Order: sequence, then C-alpha cells, then structure tokens
Amino acid sequence: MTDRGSAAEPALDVAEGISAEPITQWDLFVTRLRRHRLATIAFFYISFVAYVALMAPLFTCEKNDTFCGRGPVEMSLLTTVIMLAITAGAIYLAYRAFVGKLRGAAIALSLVGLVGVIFLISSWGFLDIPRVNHYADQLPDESGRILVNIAPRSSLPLGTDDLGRDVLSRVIHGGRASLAVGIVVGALVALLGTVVGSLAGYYPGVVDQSLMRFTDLVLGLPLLPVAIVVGRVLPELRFLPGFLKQGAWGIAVLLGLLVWGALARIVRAEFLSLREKEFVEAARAAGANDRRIIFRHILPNALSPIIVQTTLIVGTAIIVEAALSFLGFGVRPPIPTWGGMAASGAAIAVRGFWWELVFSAGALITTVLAINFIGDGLRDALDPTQTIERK
Amino acid sequence: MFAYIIRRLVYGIVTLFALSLVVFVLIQFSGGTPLDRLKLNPRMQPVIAQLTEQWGLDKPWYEQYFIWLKNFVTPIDVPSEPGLTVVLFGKLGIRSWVAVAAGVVAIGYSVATFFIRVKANWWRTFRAFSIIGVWVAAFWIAKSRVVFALNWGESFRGDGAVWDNVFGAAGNTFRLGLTALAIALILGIPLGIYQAIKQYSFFDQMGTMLSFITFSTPIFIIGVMLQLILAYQLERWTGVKVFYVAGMTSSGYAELERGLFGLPSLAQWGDVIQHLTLPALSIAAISMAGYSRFQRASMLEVMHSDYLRTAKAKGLPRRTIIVKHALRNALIPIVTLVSLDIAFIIGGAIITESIFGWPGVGRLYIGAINAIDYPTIMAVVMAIGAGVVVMNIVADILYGVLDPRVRYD
Amino acid sequence: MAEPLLNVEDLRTYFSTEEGVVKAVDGVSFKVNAGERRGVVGESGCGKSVTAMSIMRLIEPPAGEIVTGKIEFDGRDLLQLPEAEMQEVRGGEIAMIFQDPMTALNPVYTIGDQLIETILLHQDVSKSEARQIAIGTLADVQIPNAAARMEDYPHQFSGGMRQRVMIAMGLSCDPKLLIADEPTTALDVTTQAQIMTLMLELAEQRNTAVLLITHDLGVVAGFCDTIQVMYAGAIVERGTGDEIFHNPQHPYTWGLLGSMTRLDETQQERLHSVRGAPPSLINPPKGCRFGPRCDFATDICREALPILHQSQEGQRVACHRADELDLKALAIGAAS
Repeated sequence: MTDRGSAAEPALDVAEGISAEPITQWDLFVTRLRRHRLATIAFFYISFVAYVALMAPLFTCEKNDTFCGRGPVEMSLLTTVIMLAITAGAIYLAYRAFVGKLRGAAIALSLVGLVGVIFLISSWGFLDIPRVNHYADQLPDESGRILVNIAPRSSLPLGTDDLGRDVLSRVIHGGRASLAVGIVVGALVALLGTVVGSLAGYYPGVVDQSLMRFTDLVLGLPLLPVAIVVGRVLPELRFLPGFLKQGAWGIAVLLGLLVWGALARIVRAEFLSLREKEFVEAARAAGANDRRIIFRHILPNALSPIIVQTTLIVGTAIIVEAALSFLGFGVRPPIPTWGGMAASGAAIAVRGFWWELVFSAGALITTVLAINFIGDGLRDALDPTQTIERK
Repeated sequence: MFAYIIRRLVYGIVTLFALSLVVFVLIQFSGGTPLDRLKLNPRMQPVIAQLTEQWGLDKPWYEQYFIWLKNFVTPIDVPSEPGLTVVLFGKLGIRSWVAVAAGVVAIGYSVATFFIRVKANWWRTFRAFSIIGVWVAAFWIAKSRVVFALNWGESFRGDGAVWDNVFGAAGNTFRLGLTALAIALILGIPLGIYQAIKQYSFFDQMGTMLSFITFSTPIFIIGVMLQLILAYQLERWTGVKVFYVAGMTSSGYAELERGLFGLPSLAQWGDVIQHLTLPALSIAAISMAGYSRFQRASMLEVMHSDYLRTAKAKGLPRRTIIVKHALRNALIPIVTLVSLDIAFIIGGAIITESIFGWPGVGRLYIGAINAIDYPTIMAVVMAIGAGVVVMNIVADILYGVLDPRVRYD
Repeated sequence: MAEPLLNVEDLRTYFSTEEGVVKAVDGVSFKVNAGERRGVVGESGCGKSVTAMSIMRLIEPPAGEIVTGKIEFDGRDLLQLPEAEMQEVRGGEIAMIFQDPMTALNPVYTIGDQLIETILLHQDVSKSEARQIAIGTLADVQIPNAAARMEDYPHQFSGGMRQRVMIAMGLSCDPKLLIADEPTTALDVTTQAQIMTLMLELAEQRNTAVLLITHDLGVVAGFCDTIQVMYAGAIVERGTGDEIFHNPQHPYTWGLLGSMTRLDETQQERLHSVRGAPPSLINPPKGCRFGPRCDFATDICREALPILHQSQEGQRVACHRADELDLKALAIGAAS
C-alpha cells in the first residue's frame, strides 16, 4: 500500500499543501507515544508507584504512628526537604515531558537518571535491614492488644495482616523489592545483552561463535529451577556483602544475570543485518573505525528493539521475583514483598481475610501491566515503519 | 538433517553439563551439609557414614562433582528374574503398552522413511511427529525400570531411589503440563485467529485487553484465585464440591469401580478431572494469553501479506483464503513459541504444584531444595534441562517440515 | 465505436485514518477498450495502485472505502455485483500482477499447487487437465523444464522467474483484462525488458487488454497505446504515447518528462526535477492540486479545480492554462 505513504506524516502543513517544517524524531516519538493512551496512563502510574515506593517513609506507618494521629515522624528536616524537592522536580519534568512541548532526549534521560539517583539515595536505609524494621512492627490499640486481621476501615485503609501489621505500609514498602528488581534487571539486561549481542553481531567468526555458544548456554538454563537454587543459597553465601544476601538486590542481580540471553540474540540479529547496510559501508569507506561505526552508526539504529525488549524483560523479572518470594526463596520475611504478602495473604484468605492477598496481588498485577503497556506503546512509537492507519 | 540433530544434541549435552556444574557448585555453597538433619538422630550414624563414604561428602567439591557425574551416568542392574516379557507384561499397564507400541512403530517408521525419499507433505509431517512418539516410548521404558535404570542414588531424605521418585513425579507433571498445554492451544490459537479476522471489533479489543491482563498476572495469583473462587466459594454457594484444591485423586480413588481392562472407569475419570482442572487452568491461562496474542499478530501479518492479496486477486472465496492460505502460514511460527513455552510450563508447574499439592517434579524439587537433598535436586534439574533440550529439537524439526523454506545444514 | 471493456466513472476511494480522510482516488474516469494497452503513470501516492485495487474491489473496509463511482466491466457494474460473482471476475476475467514477485506467492505451497488452484477455480476442468494447462502456461512464459518445476516452491525460483510464474497465473484463465501493478519495479534492468515484452506478447496473443501501472515513464514509452498521468488522486492528462511524450500539455507531465533520463536525445539536456513534494490527500490545496508546485500557476489555479477537457492539441488535460502554455518551446528554452 505504497499509496498511503504520504498520509503517514502527521505534521504536514496542510495550508501550504507542502510539508514545511521538519519534525525531529523525538517529536514524532512523543506524538506517537502520547497517542497510545494506555501507555501514557501506564507511564504516570509507574511514576506514581515508583515515587510512593521511593518515598515510602513519607507515607507509611512509623512505629504505628501514622494512623494513630501523629503523622510521619523520625525523619530529619533535611531528608524531608530533599524528598519534597525531588517530588517537585519529578512532577515538573513529567509535566514537561508529556503536556508541554519537550525538545531533545536530554531531558528525558536526565529524568531517568534522576529517578536512579533518588532510588540509590533513598534506598540506603533499605540496605540496612534493622533500620527499616518498623513496617514489621505490630499495631497495638490503646489497651495494648494487637489488632490481627482487621478489615479495611478508615483508620486502616487496607486492614492488618495475621500478625497485626498494617497492610498499606507493607504494600508501599513491598514495592521497593519490585522496583529494585525492575531497575537492576533492566540495567543489567540492557548492558549485557547489548554488549554481547553487538560484539557477536559485529565481529563474525570466533568472537561471534564463542559468545553465541555462551548465550545459548545461559538461555538453556531453566530459569525458575536455577533461580530457586540461587535464592535458597543466597543468604548463606559468606563472601557476599550483606545487602546482596538479604533483600531484593541479590535476587535482582541474579535474575539480571540469567535473562539477558534473549536480548543478546535480538541485538546480534540487528547488528548482522545493519552491518551490511549501505550507510555502514559508506561510513567504513569514509574511514570510520570500528568503535565509531558501532556507536554512531549501528547502535542508534538498533536502539528500539533494545528498549522494547528490555522493558518486557523487566516485567517478566518482577513476576519471577514475586514468584520466588511467594515460594519462600526470594526476599526473606519480615521484609515485605508483594509476592511474599500474596503467599501469607493466600493462607488467611481461605478464612475470609481477603485484603492482604487482594491488595498485594493488585499492586503487583497493575505494576506489571503498566510496564507491559509501556513496552507496547514504546514498540509502536519507536517502530518507524508503523503507519497511523495500522494503529 | 541428521547431522543437524546430532549437532543440536551435542550442544544440548554441553548445556546440561554447564547446568549440572552451576547447580552443583551452588549447592556446595549452601551452609551446612544435607546430612545435618540426620545427625539429630543417633541411630542414623551408620547411615551418615555410609552416605559420606558413598558420595564423598568429606572430599573437595570438584571430586564430589565427579563422583556424582560418574554415578549419574552409570546404569544399575535391573532384576529380570522371571524372564523379561513376563516382567514387562506384569509391570506395565495397558496404557504403557500402547505407548511402547506407538514408539516402536514410530522408530521403525522413521528408519524406513529415512531410506525412502518422500515428498508428500502429510507424510513428512507424520514422520516429524513420530519423533514425539519415540520420546514418549523412551520415557515409559525408563519409568518402568524394567529394561534400564541409572544410578541416581538414594534420596538424602530417606524416601527411596531418586530414579523412581523423579520418573514417578515426572509422569504426574506430564499429566498436568500436557493438559495445560492442550487447554492453552485449543483455546488460545482459535481465539487469536478469530481476533485477527475480526480485527478492531469489540471482541478483538476485549480479547487483547484480557490477554494483556492475564499475561501480566503471576501464575501463583491465578492459582490462588482459582482456588478461592472456583473451589471454596463455589462450594460455599452450591454446597457441592466441584473442584478439589489438593492432590491428584481423592483418597477413595482406588475403591471406586474400575473400568474395563484395568483402565479407569467413568467415575474415576471424573475424580481425576475434578482434581486436574484448577491446576491445569492456572498454568494454561498465561500460556493461552501468550498464544492468542502471538497468533493474532502472526495471523494479521499473514493477512496483510502480498501472497494473500494474490490469493484474493485470484478470486478465491474468503473461507479458502483464510483456511488454506492464511492459516497454514500463520500457524508455523507458533511451533517455535510452544517449544520455548515448555520451559515456562515446567516453571509454572513448579509453582502450581506447590499451591495445589500436586505430587509432581515441582513439589519434589521444592522439597529437595528445602532439605538440600542434592541427589534429588541434581536429578530433577537435569531432567528439566533435558526436557527443554529435547523439546527445542522437536520444535526445530517440526518447523522444518511445516515451512519448506527452512533447510538444515 | 464498440462498447469499452472497462468504463470507470467518477471513482472516489477514501481511506479513513486518525489524521482524517485520505482521498486517495478522487474522481477518476477512464475507459479501456478490449485488447488495448493502457499505461497509468504517476508518483507513488498518486492513487494509481488504489485505482487498480478498486477495480478488483480489493479495498478492505473499514480502513478504505469506495465512496462513489461506477466501474463497468463488460456491461456489468462491478461495484454492484454480489461478492460471489465478484470472485468469479477476479482471476477469471480480470487478473492482476503485483509489484514484488518475491512475496506475492504463498511460500508454503508449490508453484503447481498455486497454478492449478487458480485454473480449477475458474475453468470447468478436471485436476489432471488443470495440471496440463498449468504446465502449458508455464512453458508459455518460457520457464524451462516446466513439468518438473511445478513441484518446486517459490523460494526455489529467482525474482524474474517468479514474476513469470505470476504472469502465467494471471493469464492461465484467459482474462479479458490484465492489471499489472509495477510488474518490473522489483526486478533488475536486464530482466525488466524481457518480462515486459513477454507479458505484452502473451496478452496480445490472447487479446487481453492490459492496464500497466508504473511510476517509470520509460517503461510505458514503448509498450502502451494510451497513457494517462495521475497526480494526487486524479487524472491530469491522457493521450497517446506520442502526444504525451512529444507534446505534453500539463506542467506536471512536462516536469516528469524533464526528470527522465533519455538516451535517444541528440541534444544534451539538463535533468530537472519537479520541486516540492506531493500534497496532503487529507486536506488538498484549494484550486489546482499541482498549483503549489507549478511554475506557471496564476490566480485562477489557486481558486478553481481544473477539470479534464479536450485540449487544442488533441489529448485530454486538466489544466487551466493548457492552451496558452507552450511547454514544448519552454523545454528547449530550459535546455539551452
């Protein structure tokens, strides 16, 4: 249907009848992404989830105070100011990215970078297990009784679990595990998959053969059984630093090391086809060295599958982490995770106490769903062959 | 073709080596020895000594690995006192015999067709599918332990020979996994095709949305929800126990009336289905969502292809276009997806079995992991790895048969 | 004059997109006589393929729709035919050959299967007779060893060979009209002429009319009786090959000719191109659609849409200033 080609350009200056102002790739990308309404909503939802998880101390129960009248406590003024400043910055950038006119990928990248930095800063407490034990604390009422299995009510919006812990606080803190897995797996997969895939795709022969054999080997490992073994022995590995042994970080690194194979294959295939293209030949003829060809000419063209695939792998990884925690081989109690809460919630749901299961599962499903929607939207927005007619 | 299969098998064996090494080393790092639990019982001292001796538990890890590896591939003598045929007849049920017969026919058939060049499509398709028959036969023979068994050792938890445990559990997992696969294929593929034909319709959009949601839901949540709604709530509302949430059969299964030739009776089938439905559904749901999404995309791609336009321009009726020209092409890619999905189904089985108390490989594995019963862990991991390798080869062969453009060299 | 074989009147085919309605074909009328060779020329996106697809009624709702118009073929209005009768017309009376032979054949069936399928569909013959006919047509399109190659799959043929198979498939049922949509664009130059000659010879033997769609004026030059030039969903000029090539009346045709490399010119000419890009078909410019790109546009061109009319020179042209402009003289002027 070549005849419809001209209809695909969205910003034709119709009054003139001739396309006038050139539109940048970024504009096209944002236009397309914005048109994918679900992806836009998902983007805001994920930002919301990430924000709430990062700023967990702002919202959660610190020694049972939040819902007993005193509000967030034991946070230094500095921490509060930093957190509020970051909040304002994030909201402004999100506004600029999607509502206002945004030029250049730099701002988007800085947004991503900012989230990463905030995460690292704010999760320092997360690395140190005893400090954040507060969400494991139980909620006694005035007479000192522990309120076990309390149904949702205005003072306890999501109720309490079978040990009397506030479900809302735990759901909010549980998001941190999923977020850690998402960020670490995303980074590791993008890095390993791209490096291995591009080396294999660019240098045929021995490099390609050995790297791809290795990739096949990693892909051949059945994910869940191996992850279960590692999850089981992780807390007992003496040489690992503490934060890798407990909590989500170790699991995240493990999953990242296990799931990059699929991306490496995709990147390799992209490189194999791109390195034969005329523009690469032209660059080579112009005397560009390998590094320049790889980074300036091939990699930018292979970026869309990398981004899309990484997004989808992140969704899978979050599910696998939750499954590990559900089975008891992931993050260990009392640190809350959505998977772990679903496990303990399932045990009491049979007796009619449905809230812990429903809210943890709901948080998990909506988060993964949002990530998948974003992946879908990115796929549509980044695919240059996509015409509007196909939707 | 044969050279290709051999090469794939070699790669597969290398992968299995790597897998065994990784898992073995990891187990070594888990603090404490698997025998700790036995030490609490003073009467177990000789057993501990014997196991330590047998598995070299006091030696460095690499020596232990080689001891394990050597044992793992060493056949053990199988008793065949009253003559092989009698044992075979006595031990194998009629179903096993059907499977073995199918396997023998399939092997003979494959050998025969190797020498006769064939061109007809259905003929080649059948030959490729017969390979599955070969594997089924091999499985049954191994499970029966009559002809052949390997020295996979005794479980450290004291529940018998690992070989028997793994194959017994594998049969149960097959029942679960294959049912799930069948449900996913039978529902998912037509769904995807129908969505593609009715693109942009309300049905299509609902279907896409639903598969998106299902695809984003972890399997354990589906399992738990099915238990809560279709088992507990349904029983509460109707007063009838429709589905069971644990086990493969009721405790009274053996007392139920038996059918002809030792096959299960209708009542027994019913009991099995009542137990099987929920776990199989929870595994199938996610695969089904994946298949329907994939099938829809693949069908749409074919429907927009040039050769379909040619078919329309030829004046073929819409039915013929879809059934003959589109479907055949659109079904090819799903073969690969299904083969890759085998690993996922096994993973799903591990989770589902622990939710539904299904005595399969997954539950065996979780139990073994908790007790660091490493002969069992290793055997299960190797069995799963081998299953994935075999299924990938089968998928490649099927793909080659279905798509004439593919040539192996 | 006898009744024309194909009579298209005021055909309008629109596509709805998120941006708006794309008027891909907007008021096209023409007639094709039996046995005639008609060339349709224009840039990509001018609506020539959509015209062909509309004739075959292969426009897929809901995206695309034939809004108004009449397509009379052999005395019947194709747009009014029920789908079942239309299926008999497709492939049986009107055959179509597509641009890319690499993808136009179904990869999982043999060439023989696909040929026989067409023949069985439109002719009342047995399977073995159909097979004989298929082998015969394959031999007609000069495929060596036709009987043996029936069993081969499309991927075992080269591009040129596949296009021959497509031609065989198109002509196997002796259609009255053959629509060839850029049949040689995807082939290399040496094969192009062979395929073209072969196709037209076979068509002539069977007295099949040919509607040849291409963006390449060079292709139609030697092969077509009449040529029509399309721009932005409408026909801007129609005439015999001589008229179009030697005496273009529409500035667009003139521009197209100027941008074409010609080996038969004695005088060295500078190539020139038509400036700008085709207009949006969603919201076309007011007045003449070519106006914004035309070097000769005046006020009237910006106000009123010119209609196709008989020019003084003989051919039909849709330009307000066709009679006042002397493009031939200008061409020489531009060259010097």
